[in-house]
Amino acid sequence: MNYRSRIFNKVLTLKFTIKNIANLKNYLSYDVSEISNNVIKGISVSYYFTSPGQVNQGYLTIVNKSFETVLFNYPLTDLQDSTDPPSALVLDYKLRLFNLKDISLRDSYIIVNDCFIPSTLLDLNLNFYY
Amino acid sequence: MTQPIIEKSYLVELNVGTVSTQKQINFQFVPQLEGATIYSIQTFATTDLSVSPNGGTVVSLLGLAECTVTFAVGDTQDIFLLPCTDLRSPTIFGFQRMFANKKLNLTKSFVTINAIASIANNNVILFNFIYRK
Repeated sequence: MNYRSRIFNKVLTLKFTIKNIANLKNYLSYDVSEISNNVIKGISVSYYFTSPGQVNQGYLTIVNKSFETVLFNYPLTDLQDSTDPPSALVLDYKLRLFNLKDISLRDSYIIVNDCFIPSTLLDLNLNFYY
Repeated sequence: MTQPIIEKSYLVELNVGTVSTQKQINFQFVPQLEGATIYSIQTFATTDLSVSPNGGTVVSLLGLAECTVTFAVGDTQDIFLLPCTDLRSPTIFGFQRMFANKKLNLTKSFVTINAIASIANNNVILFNFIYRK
């Protein structure tokens, strides 16, 4: 099978705590030069939600330093890696490949759109491959 | 099959309104995708995404199987009556279906509902357009 993959030099994992409030923009309030100064070639999500289904309600928006939205409401469910067997299996452990330059994490955000466990804090790891 | 290197993506919601057989629902004008070169498109079912960004109920997998999509380039329907399930990654082993750099005319593109057994009124069909500009 001709599956395109890439060789990554480094991986940086950032942990985010997200408020489970519908339509709230949870800004990724980090300023990490490793992310903003490198071309991000892959992103995956590892998470420790109380229910695996909760990642099905999250969307990631990534903005660059020019305040241009490069990813708009990208579904988190499509970024899951092998730490979540039920969903990762259906994506067959494929890592989504990107070509993102000059990312501004402070202006990027995640929304979680259905509060079936209201006011719960969700821990989420975003893995950046570059 | 290869998978794309994503430069930009934009998630579009299509509300089906009141469902009826053979109903066609046109896409709205999306300024961000105007003139964009689209090279991959994804759809999602409620098992993938339970709620849309605007709070709509996402169509079920069975409902998605009852829909086809037609994408126009200019006045030509380049992608004609493609089953929506064929764009859903978990259905195609996690891949993202790729196309040959289409400049889509979204306002002339539409989804056709072929059966209404598993689609409820005001369900939402999500399309993730992967593009460069």
